[in-house]
Amino acid sequence: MFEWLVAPLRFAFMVRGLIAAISVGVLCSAVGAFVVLRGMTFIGDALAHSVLPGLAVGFISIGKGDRRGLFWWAMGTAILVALGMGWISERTRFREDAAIGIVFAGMFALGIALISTVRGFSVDLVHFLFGNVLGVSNHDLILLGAFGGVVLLLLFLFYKELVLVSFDITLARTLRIRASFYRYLLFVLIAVTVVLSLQTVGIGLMLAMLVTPASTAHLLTKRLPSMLLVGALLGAIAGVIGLYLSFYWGVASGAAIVLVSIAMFLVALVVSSRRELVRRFRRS
Amino acid sequence: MIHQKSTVIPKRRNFSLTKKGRSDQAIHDVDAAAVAVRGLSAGYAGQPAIVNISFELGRGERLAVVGPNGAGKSTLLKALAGLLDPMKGKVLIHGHGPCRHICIAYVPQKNTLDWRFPITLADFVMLGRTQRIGPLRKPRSQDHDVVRSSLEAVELTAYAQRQIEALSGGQQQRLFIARALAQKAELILFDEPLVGLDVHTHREVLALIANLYRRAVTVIMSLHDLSIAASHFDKILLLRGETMGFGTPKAVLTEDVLRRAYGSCLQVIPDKDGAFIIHDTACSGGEHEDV
Repeated sequence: MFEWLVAPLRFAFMVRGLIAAISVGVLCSAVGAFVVLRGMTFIGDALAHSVLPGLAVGFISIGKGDRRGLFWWAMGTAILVALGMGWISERTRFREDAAIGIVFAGMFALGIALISTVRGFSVDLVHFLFGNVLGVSNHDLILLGAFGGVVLLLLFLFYKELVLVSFDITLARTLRIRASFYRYLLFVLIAVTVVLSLQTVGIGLMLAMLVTPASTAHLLTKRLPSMLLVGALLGAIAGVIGLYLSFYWGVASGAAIVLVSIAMFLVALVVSSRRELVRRFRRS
Repeated sequence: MIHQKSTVIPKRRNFSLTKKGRSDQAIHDVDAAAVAVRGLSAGYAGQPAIVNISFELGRGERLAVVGPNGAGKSTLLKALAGLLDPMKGKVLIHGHGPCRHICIAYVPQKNTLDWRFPITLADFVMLGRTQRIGPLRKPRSQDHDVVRSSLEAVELTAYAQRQIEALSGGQQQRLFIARALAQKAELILFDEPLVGLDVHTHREVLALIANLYRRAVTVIMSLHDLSIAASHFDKILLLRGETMGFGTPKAVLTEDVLRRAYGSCLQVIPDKDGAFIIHDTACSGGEHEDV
C-alpha cells in the first residue's frame, strides 16, 4: 500500500501535478461557494472565453518572445471583463447572468476576429485554454501560490462583507456599506481564480472545480464557513484521488479529477436526500 | 454680589454610532422630528410614482402607509431608507438625509431573499451588526450578546443555530425584527410584512411591533388591511401617488377620503355605529405599477 502511494511521487511532474490539483481544488472551491450561491456558475465559462482578445493582442505584441507573458495579458483582460460584467449588471436592469452573457459573447467574438488575422496562433491558444495538470511548471506553481494566496487572504479578510452583498445587498446599502466595492471585489477574485486555474489545469477542470465541490458541500452543510471548508477539502481530495487514478489506470488526468468530484457529488446527493427523508418522517 | 455667568447650553446630541473614529455617520438632532418628509417626489426611470408627499413623525410613533396597489407605498419606503434618490423634495431622519444613517432598518417583501442561503438564524441577525463591527474585524463577545438578546426578544432563541430555510412566514418576520434590533435601528420600515400570513401570525407580528414602542423605535409599515392600520398604528398615510390623507386613523379613515383613494374598489355600508367598509384588496386602484 505504502509503495502504491509513494510510487507516483518519484516523478517530479506528478508532484507538481498534485500540488497544482490540490491548490486549484482549494482555491476554486472557496471562491466557487460564492459563485454557486449567487447563481452565477456560467461566469467561469464566460471569463475563460472572454480572455481570448487579450491573448490575441498579447500574442501579437510578444511575437516569438517568452510565451509566459500571455498569462499577464489573460489576467488583465479577465479583470477588465469581470469589472465590465459588474458594471453592466449594476447600471442596467439586467440580472448578473445576462450581463455575463453579453460580455462573454462580445469578447469571444472579438477574440475570434483577432485570431483569424494571425497565423500560427492556435497552438498557443490550445495550450493556454486546455492546460494539462501534469504539464505544470515551477513557474506556474509560483504564480498559483502567490495569486491564490492573495485571493484566499482577501476572502478571509472581507468574508462578512462578501457574504452580506451576496445574500442581502439591500441590507448592505441600508447599513451604508460600500456594496458596489465588495461586489466588484468578488468579481475580480473570481476572475483571478479562473485565469490561474485555466492556465494550470485547463478549462474543463477549472469549471468542474469551481462548481462541483462547492455544490457538494452545500448539500452536506448548513453554514457558509463549513461549506467553504468542506468544499475546499473535497476539492483537494478529488485532485489527489483523480491524479492517482490517472497514474495507475492511464486515464486523462483532468477527466479523472472531474469524475471523482462528480462521484462525490452523487454520494452527497444520496446522503442528503436520505437525511431529508428521515427528517420528514420524524416530523410526521 | 454674585455675577451669574451666562452659559450657552449645547443641544443634546445623540450619536447613531458609539464607535470611536466613525465620523462618517449622521449625528441625531434630538430636537428634529424622527422622520420629516417635505415635498417628496420619487420614482423610476424619470417617471414619478409618488408626488409632493409631506409628513412628520415623532420618535417612537407608528405609521401605517395604506393605499391601493400601485399607490407608491414601496417607493416611499425605499426613499425613506435612502435606497432611492428623491426627484424633488427632502427626506430627513433625525434632522439628516437617510444616506447618512445606519439606524434605519428596511424589511423588504420576504420573497426578495434566497432563504436557502446556508446561514443560521444567529448568522442572519449578526449581518445587522456588520457596519458596527467594522471592516477587517470579527464579531466580538458584545456582538454575540446583542444577537442573543435580539433573538430572545422575538422568542427565536431555541432556533438560533437552525438554518433560515426551516422558518415559517411569521418566524421570518420575527427574524427581521431581531436583525433590526441587533442593528440598533431607530427607524424600521416594513414593506407589506403581513402578506401571506394567517390571522394568528398577524397578531404575533403586530404584538412585537407594539413592543418596539417601548424601545422608542419609530415604525413605518405599508399594508393593505385598513382595520389593522386603524387599530395598531398611531397615524395613517393614505397614498394614491399623492397624499390622500394623513393623520390619526379617525381623521383619515372617513368615507369621503377612502372613496377618493380607492374609488370603486371600496364599498361603504352605513351602520348604526358608523360605517362598515368592504375593501377589495385584489382590485388595482392606482394608475402605476406596484413598485
